[in-house]
Amino acid sequence: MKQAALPLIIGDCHALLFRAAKTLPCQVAHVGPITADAFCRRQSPMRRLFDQLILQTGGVAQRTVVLSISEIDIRAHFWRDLPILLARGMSLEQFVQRRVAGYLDEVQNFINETGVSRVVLWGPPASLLGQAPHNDEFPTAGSNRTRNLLRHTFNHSVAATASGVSDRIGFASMFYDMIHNDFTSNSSWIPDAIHIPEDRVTDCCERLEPVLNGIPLSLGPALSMVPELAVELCIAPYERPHRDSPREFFKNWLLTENTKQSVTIAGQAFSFVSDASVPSDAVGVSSLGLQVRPFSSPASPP
Amino acid sequence: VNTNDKNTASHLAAIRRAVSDVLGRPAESFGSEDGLDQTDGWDSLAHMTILLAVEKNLGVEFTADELLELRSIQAMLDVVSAQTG
Repeated sequence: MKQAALPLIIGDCHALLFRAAKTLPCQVAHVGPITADAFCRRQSPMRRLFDQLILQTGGVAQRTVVLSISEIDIRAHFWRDLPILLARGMSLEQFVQRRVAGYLDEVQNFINETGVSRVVLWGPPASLLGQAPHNDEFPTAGSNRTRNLLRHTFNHSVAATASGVSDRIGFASMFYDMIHNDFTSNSSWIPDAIHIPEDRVTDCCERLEPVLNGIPLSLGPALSMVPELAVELCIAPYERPHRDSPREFFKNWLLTENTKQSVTIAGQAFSFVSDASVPSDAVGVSSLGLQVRPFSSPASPP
Repeated sequence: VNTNDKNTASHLAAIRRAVSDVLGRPAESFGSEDGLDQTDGWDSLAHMTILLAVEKNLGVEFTADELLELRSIQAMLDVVSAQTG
């Protein structure tokens, strides 16, 4: 009798953890720094590499595939785009929902086109990195707590969307094991600030295995147990000189859990500027308790 | 040459200049089909910067939806032309 092919775990650097798996037989393929956004764009270099690796594995028809994709989006790319979009009236949850819907649509296309029997999304782990690199592409900042809040929003959105897209999509995550009650990261899970260490691989396999076998979602502690967050984030506009024309200024935005009046980028301090163009209807309290407001407006009294 | 054609040509030139500023290559090397994943260096990191540079050059503001949808010079040109008439 022909043996069922091993599950394929493919994606970013977080997929590599499973090379150390002793209790879960699997095949691991590392694409590189693939994001969910790049996965959705079929002409992107990372998606083309992903497709090539899938071919090299001999195809995935009738196999279970674990996609380890999306951590980089949340740790870095979301923080670059979100403040700009929030300042134009898109809510934080609309933004995340839109990204998740696009990602899950493409996962469904992948299932239809390859004949994969089941896809499990390996959720983004918590991160200890407090700040994104500050440069022209990432003029953004966020504490590990604010990043974790965004992961939580992402998880909510995946949980709400996945079952409506296909019963062949599952989701598993260690995220809620990796954070404290106040949503800061537990450093014992992430000694290098980004990756789950190999000595935790068995925990990860135990979380993943039931989902491989058909349980639709495994987020760890029930989402309903997560308390209202009541955390305030603010859109803080600042101006920085154009890199080639220092007398010209570009406006940028930070989304931050902020109490400071300025930000330091590449060693240079910038003050936040008042910005009447951030519409008041861009702000509000999300269903998760996240409040977003323009930096220039006073916080509402409790 | 009618006014609409002149406007379109001027918008296209401004968009190509913005792309050139961000990607560091001559404006005339970019055509309307250039865009995200189609053009060397035009990756997701450069993309938002290009959109903001186009806004600045043309004095327009894209909506949040447009910022997420626009992926090529032609697409930007279509929206800018519709906005400016």
